[in-house]
Amino acid sequence: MFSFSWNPEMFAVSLPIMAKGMVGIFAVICAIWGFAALLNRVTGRHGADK
Amino acid sequence: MQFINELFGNVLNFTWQEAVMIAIGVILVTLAIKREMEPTLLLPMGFGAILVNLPFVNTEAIETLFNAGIASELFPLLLFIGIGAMIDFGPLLSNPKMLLFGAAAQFGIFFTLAVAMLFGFGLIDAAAISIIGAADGPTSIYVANYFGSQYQGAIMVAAYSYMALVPIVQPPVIRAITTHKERLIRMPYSPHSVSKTTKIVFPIFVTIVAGTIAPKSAELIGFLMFGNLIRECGVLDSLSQSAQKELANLITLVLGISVAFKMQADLFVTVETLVIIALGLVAFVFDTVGGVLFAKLLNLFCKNKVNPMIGAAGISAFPMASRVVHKMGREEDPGNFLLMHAAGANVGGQIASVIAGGLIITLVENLL
Repeated sequence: MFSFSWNPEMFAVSLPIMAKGMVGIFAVICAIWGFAALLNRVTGRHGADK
Repeated sequence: MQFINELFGNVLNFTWQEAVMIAIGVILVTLAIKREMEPTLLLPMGFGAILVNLPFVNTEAIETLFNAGIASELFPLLLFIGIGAMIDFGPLLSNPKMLLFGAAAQFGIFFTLAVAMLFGFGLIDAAAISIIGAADGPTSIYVANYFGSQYQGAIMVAAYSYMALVPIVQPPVIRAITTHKERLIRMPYSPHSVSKTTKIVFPIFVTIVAGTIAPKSAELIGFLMFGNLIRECGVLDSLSQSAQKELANLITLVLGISVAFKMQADLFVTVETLVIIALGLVAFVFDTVGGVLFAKLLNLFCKNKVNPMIGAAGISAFPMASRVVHKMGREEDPGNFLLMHAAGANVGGQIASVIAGGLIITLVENLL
């Protein structure tokens, strides 16, 4: 049950989640970005199916 | 007299909390109809809130719908097939760099998790609340339900309300952290043609990558990408049309009223609901801040400058966020057309928000 309180120690606990979350999301998105760019380059050369 | 008592006696059974919930229901219905704010969901949710808060009302049918569609996570996933079939990844694939803004604009999720824990919410509830920042209704429902949060009703109302309020929430935040000169930056749009092969392979690859790195997001991203594959494959036009229209409409129809099961007065009329609604605002504000500051960071290293407002379009609320950015750009400089760039970032945000939902589940579960 929630009760109002000021928990700086819990804030500190959440910082690694924040860091891992942002690193994780950028890792996935960068992988997708790289693949999309690669796909564009590869399929761009074969203009037949544009 | 006794007959009148029997007929109208139930009126006296109204509690003030139920009256408040009925008023909230009426407000949601009014906002949906008068202001056209997310009417497809706010209207059923508002009406459902009225229905479930009548004294001694039988909510068995709504409970059954809730258990069958939301507790089982089926409705948000099925809705994702429809949404996937509606999304055109063309503007994003034409300029895949825009995906990065989608990632940056998820910052509000993780920031809100920290703030919720700072104010005394437990890890699970804080994680469920933080997902309001995904600006993505089905993801919010999926994650809040996955954690079994007792605040599901408030989380869903906050998520959909703030999505509708994007045109009000984002502009002052964007203005506060950008200069007039930055908002004037023009971005020439030179789209590259995107092959059909790319459009077909893309949803399959995204499913594999996101599902491998964040397995908890596999279902969410998988259903979204399945819908998109149906759209792009070119041989399932009939299914694509059904997913975009009949499936999405049917699920939307019952989703809102099912969510209302969690809007019963004893669960909803609490201080926590007000705090959650405030935290939802924090999530949207810091999503916007994350996206805009990331764009400013990129400008330190890139030759071709990015208008930092594009970063704000990285949230998932489509197409509101991209329209807001485009409109703000035109207000600063009527000749500045940012819509296609913003749409690319916005679609990137749709992918990133789902992945963020999966990451939140994975990271929090590892700590339990």
